[in-house]
Amino acid sequence: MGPLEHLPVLMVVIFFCGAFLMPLLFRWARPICAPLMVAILAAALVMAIIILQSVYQLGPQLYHLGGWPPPWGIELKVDLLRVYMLLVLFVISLWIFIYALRDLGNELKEELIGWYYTLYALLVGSMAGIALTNDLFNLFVMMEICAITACAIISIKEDRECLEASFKYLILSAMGTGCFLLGVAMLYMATGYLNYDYLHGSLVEAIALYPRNLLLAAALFIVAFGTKAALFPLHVWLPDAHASAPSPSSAMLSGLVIKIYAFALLIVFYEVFPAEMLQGVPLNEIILWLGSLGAMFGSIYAMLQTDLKKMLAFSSIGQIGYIFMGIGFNHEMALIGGLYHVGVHAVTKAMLFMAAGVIIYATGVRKISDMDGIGRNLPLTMAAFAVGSASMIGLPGTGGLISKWYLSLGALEMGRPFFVIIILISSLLNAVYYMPIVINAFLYHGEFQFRVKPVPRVMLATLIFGMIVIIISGVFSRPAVVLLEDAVSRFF
Amino acid sequence: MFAAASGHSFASPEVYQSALPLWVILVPILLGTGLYFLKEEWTKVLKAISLAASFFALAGVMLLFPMVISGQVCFDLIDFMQMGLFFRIDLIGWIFALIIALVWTLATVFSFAYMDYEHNLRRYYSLLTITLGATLGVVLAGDFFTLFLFFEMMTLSSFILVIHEQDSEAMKAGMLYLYLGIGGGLCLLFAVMMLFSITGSVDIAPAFNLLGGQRTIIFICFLIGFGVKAGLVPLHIWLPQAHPVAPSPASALLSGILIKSGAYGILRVSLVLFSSPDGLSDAEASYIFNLGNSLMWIGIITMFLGAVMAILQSNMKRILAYSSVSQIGYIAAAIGAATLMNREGGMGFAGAVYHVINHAFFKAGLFMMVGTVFMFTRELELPRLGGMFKKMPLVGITFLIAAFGITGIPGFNGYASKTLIHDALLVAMEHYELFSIELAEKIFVLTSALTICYFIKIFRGVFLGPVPEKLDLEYRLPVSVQAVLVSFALVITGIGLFPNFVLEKIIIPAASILHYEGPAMEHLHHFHFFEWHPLEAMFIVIALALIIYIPGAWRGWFEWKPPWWLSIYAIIYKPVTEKLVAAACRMGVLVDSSVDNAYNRSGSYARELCSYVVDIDRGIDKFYASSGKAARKLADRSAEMDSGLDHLYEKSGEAARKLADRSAEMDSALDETYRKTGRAAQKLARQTTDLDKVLNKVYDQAGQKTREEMEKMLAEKKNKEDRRERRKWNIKNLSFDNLLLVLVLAVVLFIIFYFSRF
Repeated sequence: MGPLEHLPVLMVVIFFCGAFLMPLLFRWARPICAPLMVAILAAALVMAIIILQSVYQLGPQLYHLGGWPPPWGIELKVDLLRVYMLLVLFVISLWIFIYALRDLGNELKEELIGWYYTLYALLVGSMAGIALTNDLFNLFVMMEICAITACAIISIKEDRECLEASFKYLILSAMGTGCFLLGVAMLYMATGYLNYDYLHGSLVEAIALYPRNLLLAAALFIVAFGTKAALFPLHVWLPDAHASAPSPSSAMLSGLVIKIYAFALLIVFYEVFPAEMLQGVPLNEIILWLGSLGAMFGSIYAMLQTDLKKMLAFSSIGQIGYIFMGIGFNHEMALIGGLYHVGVHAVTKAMLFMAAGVIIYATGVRKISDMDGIGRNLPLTMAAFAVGSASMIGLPGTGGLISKWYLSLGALEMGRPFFVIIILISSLLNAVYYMPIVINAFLYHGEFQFRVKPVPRVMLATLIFGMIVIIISGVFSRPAVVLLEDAVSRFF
Repeated sequence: MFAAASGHSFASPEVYQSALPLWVILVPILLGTGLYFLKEEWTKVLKAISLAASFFALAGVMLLFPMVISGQVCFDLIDFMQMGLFFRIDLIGWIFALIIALVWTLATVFSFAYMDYEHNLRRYYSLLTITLGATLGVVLAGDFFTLFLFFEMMTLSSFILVIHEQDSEAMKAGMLYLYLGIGGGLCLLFAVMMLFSITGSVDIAPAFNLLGGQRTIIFICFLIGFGVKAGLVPLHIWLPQAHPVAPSPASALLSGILIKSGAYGILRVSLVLFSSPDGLSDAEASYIFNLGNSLMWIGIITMFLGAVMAILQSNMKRILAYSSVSQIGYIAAAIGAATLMNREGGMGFAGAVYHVINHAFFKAGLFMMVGTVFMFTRELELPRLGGMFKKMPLVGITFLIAAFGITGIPGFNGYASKTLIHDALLVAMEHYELFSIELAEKIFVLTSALTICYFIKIFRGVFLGPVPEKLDLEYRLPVSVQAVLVSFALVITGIGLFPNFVLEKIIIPAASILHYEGPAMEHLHHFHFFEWHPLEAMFIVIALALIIYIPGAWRGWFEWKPPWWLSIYAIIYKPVTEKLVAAACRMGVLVDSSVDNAYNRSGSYARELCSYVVDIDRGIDKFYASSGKAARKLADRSAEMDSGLDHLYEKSGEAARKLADRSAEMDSALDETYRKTGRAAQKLARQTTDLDKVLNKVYDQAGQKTREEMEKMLAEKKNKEDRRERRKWNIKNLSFDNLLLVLVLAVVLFIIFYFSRF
C-alpha cells in the first residue's frame, strides 16, 4: 500500500491544514487562495475515488490514527457506505465552492472571504471526519467542529437576521451535542468502550444489564441527531438559518450538513446498536413517524411561504423526512431509497439554492410573487430551477423518482402501504408549491418587473452541471444503486 | 426482472427483437427538443421538421405491422431509469399507435394553416412533436413502469399545449389539468409499485391470480390514474375546460388521441392484467363480474352525463369536449362489458377498440372543422355564428359527414362501433339477465339519441340560419386545410361503408391475442352490419332523438344553464379540496402553534432564569458604578495633589528667581567673574522653569488620562445597561427555551421507551 495507506486520514487532515493556511495566504498571497481550495477539494475527491477502488478490491479497511490500536486510539473506517457519503460530500462541496467563488463577492465583505474559505475547509473536513470515524468520541469532536463552523458560515454575513438565526442554530445544536455527549457517556458507563466495533460487541451483553441507561442513550441520540438534522419537530432553527445565510452557505447547509447527521444516526443505529436493542423498543417506529410527519408538515409549511429561500428551507425539512423514513423502515430497499435520496437531495437542494442565489444576484428578488415572468430574463437559471423542482416532486427522469420508488417499495415490502400514500401525498404537495413558481416564471403573460444584471458564466456552468447530475441520477441510476445495495447488504 | 413474460397468454410464440419501437418514440422526442432551440422566424423549417417527425413515426408504425400481425415486437433497454425501459408491441398496441401517428400527421398538417394566426410557433411545434413521441411511448410500452414514464411525460408536454394562449382562462384550465394529471400520475405510480411489490414484476401480463387481497386497491388506483386522462366522470372536470382553450389542432389531438391513452390503460388493466390464463373459480369469476359491472356503469354514467352536459353548452368547442367525455364513456362501458363477460367478452373488446379508432377520426376531424370556422371568424359561441354552410360549403359537408359518423348513422363509421357496443351489452344482458345491464342498455340508447340532438344543435347553430353581418365575408380555405378535412371525411365514410374490412383485418386478430372464445366470437366472425336487427336499433335511436329534439328546441330546453351548485366541481371537488386544504392547514397551524406554545412555555421558565442573570448583572453594574465613583474621587484627589505640586514648584521657581536677583545684586557689587556664575545660575533657573513646565504638562496629561478612563467606564456602564435593555426585549429570540424543550423531549422519549420495554 505505501503512502496510499494513509489516505483516510489525509482526506480529513488536508482540509484542516488548508483551513489554517487560508487566512495567512489571504493576507500575503491572495490570488492563490481560491485555486488552492479547489485543489484541496479536488484532491480529496481523487482520494475518495482511489479509496473506492481499493474498497472494491480489498473490502472495508480500518486506519489507526498515530498507530494507536482501537480501544484507546482513534480508528477511521472506510467501507462502501462511507465512501458513498464521502463521494457525495466532496463532489457537492467542490461544486458549491466553484459557485461560491463568484457569489461570495456579492454577499460578503472583501476581507472576510479568506475567513470564509477557512470555515468552508473546516466544515468539509469535519463532515468527512463524521463520515469516516469509527469512534464515538471522535464523532463528538467532529460534530462540534461542524456545528460551530456551520454557525459561522451563516453569521459571517453580519446582518441582523443572520446573527439571530445563527445564534438560534448555535444554541440548539449545542443542545444537540450536549444530548449526544450524555448519550456517549451512558454507553461508555455501560460498556467501557467508545469504538463502534467494540461497542457493538459488548452492547449485546450490556443491554441485559443496563437496559434503561442504554435506551436513554438511544433516545438522547435520536434527539441529538434529530436536532442537528432538523427532524420534525426539532426543525425550528432550520428555516431561519438556511434562509438568511449567504446562498453558498445555504446550499452547503441544506445540501450536506443536515444529511451528514442523518448519516451519523444511520451509522450509529445500524452499526453500533445491536439488533436486539432495536427490537424491544419502537425506536425505528419513532424515527419513521417523525420522518413522515416531517415530510408532510415540511411541505405544508413550505406552501405558506412567500420568501423563496425560506420556502426552499422548509422543503428541506420535508425532504430530510424521507431520509429518516428510509432509516426507520429497517428494510434494505427503503434504506437504499433513503441513502439515494441523501445524494439526490444534496444535489437538488444545493442547485435550487444556487438558482435562488443567482436570482438574488441578478435581480435582488427574494419574494416568490415577484418572480413572475423571470423565465424570459434568466432562462437557464429557471430551467435549472424547473429540473430541481421536478426532482423534488419525483417526476420521471429525475433522481427524485428513483429514491421515492425504492422508499415506497421498502414500505410495501414491510406491509405499510400507508406510508407510501404519505410519500405520494407529500409529492403532490411538493408539486403544489414548486410548480406554480416554474409555470409563472415561464408562462406569465406580463413582463418581469425588475432590472436584471448579467450572470457570470461560472455560475451558469455550475447550474448546468447540477441539471446534468440530476438527470443522470434519474436515468442511469443503476451503478449508484448497485453500490448502495452492496453497502447496506451487511445490515440485513 | 421482466423475464417472466408469460408467453402462454399471448397467442403467437413469435417474438421479434427490434429497436424500431424505440426509434419511433425517440426520433419525435429528440426532433421536438431540437425544434425548441430553433428561431421563431423559421416557420418553414419548424413545419417541415415537425411534419417529418410525424411522418417518421407513421412510417415506423407501418413497418411494424408485418411483425405485429404474426407475433409481437419486443425491445428491452436494461437499466434505463432503474427499472429499465421495455417495449412490447402486440396488435392492440399497434392499432392505437397507428391511429395516433395517422391523426397526428393530419393534425400537424392542419396546424400549418391554423397556427399562422397564432403566436409562439416554436414552442407549439416543439411540444407537439414531443407529445407525439410520449403518446406513442404509452401505447408501445411493454410494462407498466415504462407506460407510467411516458404517461407522465405526455401529461407535462401536453400541458404546454393546453396553456398555449397563456391568458388567465387557459392558465386556470391548464393548472387544473396539470394538478389532476400529476395526482393521477401518482395514483398510477402507487398502483405500479403495489403491483411490483406483490408480483415482483410490472409486466403487462395476466396477474389476477397473484394479486390476492389488494387487487381492489390496485384496480382503483389504476382506474383513477388512467381515468383522469380518459376523462371518466367524476374525474373529467379538466376536460371541458382544457380542450376548448387549446389551439384547435391541439384540442383535436387532446380529444381524439390523448384521452385514448387513458382508455388504452384501462383496457390493458381490466382485460389483460386482471385476467387469468387458467380458469377462474366461482368467487374469482364473480369478482371479475363485479369489476366489469362497475366499470361498465362508470362508462354508462360518463356517457350519459357527458351527453347531457354537451347539449346544454353554447360554446361549440365545449360541446365537442363534453361529447368526448360522453364517447369515452362508450369505450369504458364496452371495456366493462368485455370484462364482466370474462372469456366471452370478445364483442365488448371489439366494440371498444373499434370505437377508439372511429372516435379518433371523427372527433379529431370535428375539432379541426370547428377550428377552421374559428380560424376565420374568431368566434366560438353558437348564438353569434350561423350560415357558415354557404360561406364554407366544404367544411359544412365534412362536418356533416363527421357528425353522421359520431351519431352512428348507418353508412358512416360510428355506426359500426356503436352497433358492436350495443350488441355487447345485449349479449351480456342475455347471458346474465340482470336488470342493471338492461337499464344500462336503455341508457345507452337514450345517450345515443342525445348525441344526435346536440349535433343537430351545433350544426344548426354554426352552419344553418342567417349569416351574422360581422361574419359576412369571403372565406378562402387553404389547400392544406381542405386536404385534411377531406381525408377525414373519406376515412369516416370508407370505414362506414366497409365496416367488416377493419373488423376482420385488425380487430378480430387483436381479439384473438386475448383468447376470446364462445358464441360472441363466432358471431363476430360473421358480423353483418347491414342487417335489419342492428339497423332497427339505429332507427329507434334516430326516432327517439327526433322526439327529444323537436319539443326541446321548440321549448328552449337546451338553452337551460344548470346552476353552478349542480356541477361536479361544486358537488365533489370544491368540498373535498376545500375541506382537505382547510384540514391540512388547520392541522399545520395546530401543530405549529402547539410547538410554538411548548417553546414559549419553556421560554417563560428561561425568562425567569434570565431574570436572575439580570439581577446579577445589575449587581455587577452597581459595582461598576460605585467603582466609577471611587475613581472619580481618586481623580479629584490627584487633581488636588497636582495643583499642590504646582504650587510647590511655583514657589521653588520664585525662590530660584529671588536667588538669581540676589546674585544679580551681588553681581553688580562683585567682580565680572562673578557675573558669569550669575548667568549660569540664570540658565539654571530657566531650566528649572522649563522642567517645571514639563512636569506641569505631565501631570495635566495624567489627569486627562484618568478622566478619559472614567468616561470610558461610564460609557461602558451605559452600554451594559443598553444591552440589558435589549436582552429584556429579545429574550425570546435567545432560544434558551430550546434547551428545555429538547430535554423535555428526551425525557418523553425515554419514558416511552422505558414503558414499552417492560
